[in-house]
Amino acid sequence: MGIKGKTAPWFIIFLALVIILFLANLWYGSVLIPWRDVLWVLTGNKDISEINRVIILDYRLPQAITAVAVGMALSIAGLILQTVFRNPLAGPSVLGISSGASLGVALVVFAGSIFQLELLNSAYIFHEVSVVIAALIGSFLVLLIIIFVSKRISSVVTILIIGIMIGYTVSAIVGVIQFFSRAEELHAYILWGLGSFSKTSVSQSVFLLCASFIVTMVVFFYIKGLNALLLGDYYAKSVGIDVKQIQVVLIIIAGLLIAIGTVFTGPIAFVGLAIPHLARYFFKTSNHGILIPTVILFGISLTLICNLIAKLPGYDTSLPINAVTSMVGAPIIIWVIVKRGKVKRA
Amino acid sequence: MVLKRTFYSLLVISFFCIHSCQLEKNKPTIDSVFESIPDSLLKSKVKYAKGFDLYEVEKIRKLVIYQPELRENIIATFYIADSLTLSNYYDKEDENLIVVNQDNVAVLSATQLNAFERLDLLDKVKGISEAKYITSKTIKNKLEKEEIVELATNADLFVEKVITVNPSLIFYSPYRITNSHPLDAAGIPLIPFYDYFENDPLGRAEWIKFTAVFFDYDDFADSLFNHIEEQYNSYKTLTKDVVYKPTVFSDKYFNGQWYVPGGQSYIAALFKDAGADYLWKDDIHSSSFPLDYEVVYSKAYYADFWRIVGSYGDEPTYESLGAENGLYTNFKAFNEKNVIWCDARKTGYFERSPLEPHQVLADLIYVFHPELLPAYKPQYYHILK
Repeated sequence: MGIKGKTAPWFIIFLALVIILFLANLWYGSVLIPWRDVLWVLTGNKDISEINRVIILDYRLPQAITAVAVGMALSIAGLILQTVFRNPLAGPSVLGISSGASLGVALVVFAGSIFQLELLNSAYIFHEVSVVIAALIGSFLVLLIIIFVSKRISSVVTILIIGIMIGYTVSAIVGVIQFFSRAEELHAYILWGLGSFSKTSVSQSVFLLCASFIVTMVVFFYIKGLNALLLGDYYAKSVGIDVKQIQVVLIIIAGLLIAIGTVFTGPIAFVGLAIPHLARYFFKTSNHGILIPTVILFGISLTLICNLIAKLPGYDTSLPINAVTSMVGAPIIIWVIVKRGKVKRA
Repeated sequence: MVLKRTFYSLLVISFFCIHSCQLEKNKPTIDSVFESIPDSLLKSKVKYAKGFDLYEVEKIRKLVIYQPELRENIIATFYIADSLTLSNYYDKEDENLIVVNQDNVAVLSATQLNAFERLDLLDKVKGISEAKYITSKTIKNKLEKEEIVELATNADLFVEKVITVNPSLIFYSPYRITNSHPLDAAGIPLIPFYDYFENDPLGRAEWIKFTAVFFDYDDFADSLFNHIEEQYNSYKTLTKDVVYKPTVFSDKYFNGQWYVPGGQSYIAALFKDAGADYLWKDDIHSSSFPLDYEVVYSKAYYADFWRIVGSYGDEPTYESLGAENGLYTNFKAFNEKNVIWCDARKTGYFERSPLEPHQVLADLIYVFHPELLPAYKPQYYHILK
């Protein structure tokens, strides 16, 4: 595309796209609401029906904010993991981190069946702090194992394989727990696994956005380190970078971002994996100074687009977001890989 | 010598086989008993249920089970009579001939188990499923004394345990076992129980006749059902002339979807008979279907009542409901404290209510039109305080 060095106008275009998609998420849904009402609600005009006001402010707005937070968090996490492990297939689910969150949630959801405890009931379950804490603990536990291993084994490929194995093991444990669980708990857990941006309240979504934004901003301090890691450990060491330390810090940041992007919404597939590829392909660069903002804007755009698609035009129901991100994300990866192959052959 | 002996043995066995087969073929088929009666005289004893028909001729009962919602498809036909009567007839499928009043059966559906209890037939039951959900004290006692054992959970059937208990019949909920189940090979007749597909409250209750026929308890079942029918219709008559029908919606938002009972569902029929105006009454679904929150909200914002069935240990309050999901606080029914609540576990709702539709109807009438039942004490539903 030959646009290296001329990225600023593109960033403005992408930012505008994000704003348009965000507004579209507020306007568009199962119930038809005129544009004017959306603008009036946002500008504080009170001359609007209560029903439309609640739908826009209490239902669509937190969904859109959550989509922004999750899109940002997961795509940046994917970029970090792909760079640290120097593997294009690294992503939140590949390292078993989202499986860890799933295990945490499974232990809480199925508590009644496994421990004969009535900790929580399946209907309240997703609104309780315990699920969020369990998911955080689960993902960090897996993360700790990865860090522990990465301190002892230098090969990033080995770490990646161990991450995949952890993911399989955790999935197997969750499978066994599911086998002994009650029907309603199973239903609750399966629905959590399908993912949803609409489980968060306004305050929860704002919290998610703030958390996602703050952690993402920290990544900007590691642009030099990320670029150096791409060129290999020897190069990184030669420019005075402590490779082990920076790898551990970046894995922790990625883990935090994955936890943020998973706890409230359930695991969201393919965003973390697909977006970094798309960004690299678009700007044909590996410079993280350009990649990080691009990945943020692309990630947000993708989740907002997926949320729009999930609302199913003309229908009263909506699709699970995970199904939509997979359907949109997987072709993107295939397309990028095919295009790359063509470029290399040329 | 050995070869010779084997040859003669085989010859004798073959002779008996051929002879017995010919004997079988000489018998009339059991269905000919029913075919000989003109259609105009052969009346089913079933009045409301759509999932089965029951005929009786010369002390032989013919039970026909239909595919739910598609009566053209017959799933199974059973002929039930005493062993002497059955020995006079023949059928292509041996397991379709059921000897009446067997005393070692497995019952894997909780509502059917409740029918066994009401018919005083629990002594016949040796195996059940989902023991931890059972609320009946009698059954719990039997489980403790190991007179009844658990043969299945939600996830699966304990095949080896079933074979050990060796029930002579297994009554099951079809969604749990497929036709290609290993038990087919064990030769135990599997009898499907489709009561949950009935959308007419009286139709669902009528499945008590289905259970009774296997034990020659038809008259008892008829009297129980007639009482239910009489009670139900008398409650229904109360709301016939009500002028104001309060609007109602049902269930809760769950993980991105609101599963709304269809307009042709069981609960929709109860709302109608209780003199309420169910907001999705014109919908065509007979079971629950998912809707987006905003669709439910825009339609149910002004609804008078909101019905929820759950099982949460403690009874929820309006505060806990609002804390569970802030979106709930926007409904008029929530703000006017008109949430109709049923604790499924404490009341044994799923286990017991199918055979007490008159009680459920009375509960709902008491909520929607309290003036019609002034001194009534509700059993399943009440308004949250």
